[in-house]
Amino acid sequence: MRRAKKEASGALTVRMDPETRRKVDAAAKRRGLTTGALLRSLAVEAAERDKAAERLLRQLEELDPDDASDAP
Amino acid sequence: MRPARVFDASVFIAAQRGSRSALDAVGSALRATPGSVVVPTIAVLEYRSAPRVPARWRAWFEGVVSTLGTVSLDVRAARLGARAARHAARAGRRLSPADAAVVGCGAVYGASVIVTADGDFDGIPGFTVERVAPAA
Repeated sequence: MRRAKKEASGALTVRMDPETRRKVDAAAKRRGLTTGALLRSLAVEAAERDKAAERLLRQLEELDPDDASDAP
Repeated sequence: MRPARVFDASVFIAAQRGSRSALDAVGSALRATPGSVVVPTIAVLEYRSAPRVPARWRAWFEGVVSTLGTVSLDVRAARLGARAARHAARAGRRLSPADAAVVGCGAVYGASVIVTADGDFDGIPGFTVERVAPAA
């Protein structure tokens, strides 16, 4: 119930060890972002990449082999 | 964490020829964690140099490159690639400038695995080689 409420609100708690937290904070600072904004942008980028990858995998199944006889 | 992999152009050419292991390697790369597989720009040059690559394969390759990401041949990569070429020459093997560039780019990226259909990358210090079949 609590989880469902949280998902609906879009809130997310991420737990990490102190060393990882320091690294993530530093990476965000270097980019002029808050840690949350950095994690959000990386997650969105990963989701978009997965979508592109799935499309490329589908295309790969449909491509006919070619002898590539002129390949260098 | 799985070591980062650098893809040689020969893998894409082998995939185009219908090599199952090359197709599987590219498929795994597309499913891998972002940043764990990279294509050196020299591989883009090599693959795109063939005058008769079918348009659908070319478009697919460009999509793969843009999804996986590239690493460019800068001065540091050139130096590291040259070092690998000298090492190979001392061992009686020839590493072409393009292959040396793949090694240098991989080293700069922090990769430790070269995925290739060629035998030219064997015995390069700091790298293991994952070989795919060159054709179906």
